[in-house]
Amino acid sequence: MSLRIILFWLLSIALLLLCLLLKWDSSAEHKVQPINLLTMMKVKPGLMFRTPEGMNLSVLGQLKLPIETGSRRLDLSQYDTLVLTDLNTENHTDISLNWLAGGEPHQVELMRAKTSITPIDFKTTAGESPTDLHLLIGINNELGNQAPLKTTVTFEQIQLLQNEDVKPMTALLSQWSQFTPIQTSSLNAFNTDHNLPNKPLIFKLSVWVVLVLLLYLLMRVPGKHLVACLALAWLIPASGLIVNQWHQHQQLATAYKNKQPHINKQDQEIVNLADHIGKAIESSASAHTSDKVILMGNGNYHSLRLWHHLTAFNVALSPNLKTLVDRPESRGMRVLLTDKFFRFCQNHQLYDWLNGHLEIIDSNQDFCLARLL
Amino acid sequence: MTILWGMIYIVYLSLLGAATRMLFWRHQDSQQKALTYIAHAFMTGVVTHILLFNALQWVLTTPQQLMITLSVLLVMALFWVVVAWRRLQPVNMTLKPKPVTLVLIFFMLLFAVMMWQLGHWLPNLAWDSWTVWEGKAIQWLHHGWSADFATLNAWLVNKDALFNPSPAYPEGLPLLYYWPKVFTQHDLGAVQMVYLMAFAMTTWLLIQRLTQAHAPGYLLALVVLVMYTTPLMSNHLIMQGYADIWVGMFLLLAFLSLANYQQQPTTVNALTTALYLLAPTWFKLEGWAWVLTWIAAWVLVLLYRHRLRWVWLAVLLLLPLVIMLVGGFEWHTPLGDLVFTADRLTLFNLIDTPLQFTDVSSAVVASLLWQNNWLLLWLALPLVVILGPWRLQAAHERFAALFMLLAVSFILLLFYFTKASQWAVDFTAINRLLLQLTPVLIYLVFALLNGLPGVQKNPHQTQQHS
Repeated sequence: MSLRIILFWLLSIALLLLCLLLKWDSSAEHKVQPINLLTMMKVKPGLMFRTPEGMNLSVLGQLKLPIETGSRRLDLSQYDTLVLTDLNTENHTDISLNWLAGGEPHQVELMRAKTSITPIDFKTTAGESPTDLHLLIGINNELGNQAPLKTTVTFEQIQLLQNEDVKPMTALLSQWSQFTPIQTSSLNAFNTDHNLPNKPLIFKLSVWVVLVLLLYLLMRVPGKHLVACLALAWLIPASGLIVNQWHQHQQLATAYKNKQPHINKQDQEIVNLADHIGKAIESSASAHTSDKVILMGNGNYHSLRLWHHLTAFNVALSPNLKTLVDRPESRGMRVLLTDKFFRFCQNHQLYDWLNGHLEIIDSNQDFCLARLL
Repeated sequence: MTILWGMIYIVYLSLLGAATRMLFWRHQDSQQKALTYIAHAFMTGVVTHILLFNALQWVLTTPQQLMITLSVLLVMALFWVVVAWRRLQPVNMTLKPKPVTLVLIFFMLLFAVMMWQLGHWLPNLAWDSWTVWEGKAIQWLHHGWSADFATLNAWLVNKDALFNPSPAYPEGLPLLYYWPKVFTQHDLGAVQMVYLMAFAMTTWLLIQRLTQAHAPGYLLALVVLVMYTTPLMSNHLIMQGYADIWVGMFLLLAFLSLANYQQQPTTVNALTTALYLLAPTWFKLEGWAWVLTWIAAWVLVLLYRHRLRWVWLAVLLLLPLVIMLVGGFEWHTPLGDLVFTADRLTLFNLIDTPLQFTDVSSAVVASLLWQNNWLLLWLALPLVVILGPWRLQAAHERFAALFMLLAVSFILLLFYFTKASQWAVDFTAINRLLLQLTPVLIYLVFALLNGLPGVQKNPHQTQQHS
């Protein structure tokens, strides 16, 4: 191996370490002492207790842990990072920091890693302190219907501090090893501008890739060495992805233990509702009237999913009952009213445009089936 | 049981594709590796299935008629493949797999099993899918498989049509979901296996193309790693249901097939290229945008080869300016309107939007890099579009780079200057559009890397068979 190649690799690795370990975004104006939030948490005895592994929280359903900072006159806006050390959560657990600032509620999902380092921007104005600061621990029921009602969270320490107090490598490992549960939104890769936890790692690696490219052009080593560097740059985040997928597998194996076809508990309830509605539609059918049923709904999850479960019938979805009433071709068709549209069934005499146009066929606490006249 | 149904579906699609390809095979066509033949047969089978079912929807009304017709067609296809195989010998059975090939297949299998392990728990989570893609298939199952779909207004007056929130979407994916639903409740798992098989075959054909360009084994291994660990691509394979990955796969296959055609201008290669290029239009409306982009790139290449190339270039650059100066251009046709003014753009039924600038830079950069949906892949875009036309070795690769330049320009134009900017900000649409181009980008990145000095194997060591 020639000296030039050895030099290329030495410089590449040195640059990689430099990129990973260098701080890029140190914006704190002056140093402040970290705040140990543990002492400020107000929690009922028995819910949180100390064990050899750290603090242990048992949560049934959802738990709000108020953090009372008022009496200490702390300027929380100086802090931009929340750190939980030795954090252990189950895959179906949601954990977030919440507060009020400028009259608006704010919520930040905490990074799910052994050492959880989450950037926090309190979004306070000058002289303002965030209020109603609290941790919210709950159970994620977005997918599956097997999530237990109870969950346990343990951690050693919870601190607010400035980003510059966190070692860069610790922060990177936290981002790298974080668990991101599978959610419906992850299919669309939906994310918000202020929730980009992988940005620092990708940014640092991107800088390194550009530097390695320049180094390659300057040193003119064989191309396979550049390929090896690029492979390394790819493997670093990709290994995190593969480990995360393994955890997601465990999450799904719990959430869909019995391989039920429904997305979640809400979906199961919609299926049951659709069964009842189906019977009502069948019993109200006649050979002389239209088989068409119009489900009133505005395209949200509930109405779309209900429409989906009623596919066996000739069902359409409409957000506007008045338009339907005005259209002569819809006369004789049945309309299905649930949720907020239920009011048209209960109090149809209150709406002038509806008077004399709706014949109630079946009405109960869950839905109303009527015919347009 | 799900795996069995999945395998049956894969064999069915492969048989259909093999029979179709054999119709156009000639003695002079080169012999291929067995897996390359299967890969093309399977992907052609997917397209043939969609076209065949679309045609049969016009003439057959019940699933029973469909089953009988398909059974007869499959027996004929099997008979034809056996007869044609003996006569034309499309596969070179004497080619022994190399150790590196076995290693690559092992890793592809490993990744596919990982994705299957993650995905087989899941019901269909994708909203678009259970309302439209799988949704239409379920509607056909209940109401007759030849039923048309309509918007609410059309449904109110049409006796036979079924309501669907997106009736205008193409029916390629619904037709893929429909067929296994006729036979089994394990249909979702069976379709996921089709997704995974299609992705594996696309990856294999990409590897084959790079192998022909004398790519070394380690680069091919990296191709497999990149294909299977690009986060949003693997996400769409694990949580099946969307059509974007099909568009991406077929776009890549169109370029790979174009390479085959340039190497061997045979009927089967020409038809395969055309079929793969048109396939995205049967999955998503955006497919038409990529077909038009392909045509635009082709026209540019023709103009570049013309002796008056600089005149043509000047005309192309000045044309939009002149149109703006004369107050715009409007052409109303039976196929739709073509409008290009300072404040409006209408391109038949594909797009109709007011024109105004919105700064979506942070959303674009976030979705390209910071969201971590593509790891570091889109970092290579400037290199591909700037260096590609000069540094890439093969003509089809340079053409693909030009296509990528036009496609990305089109996306940026869409998000910066039209009302589509709202979709860029919530990341959903921009990520899906990028997904459709990502397999082609991966190909171009590796074609560039393969062209670096000291990367390619000695051409004499590489097997010449495709």
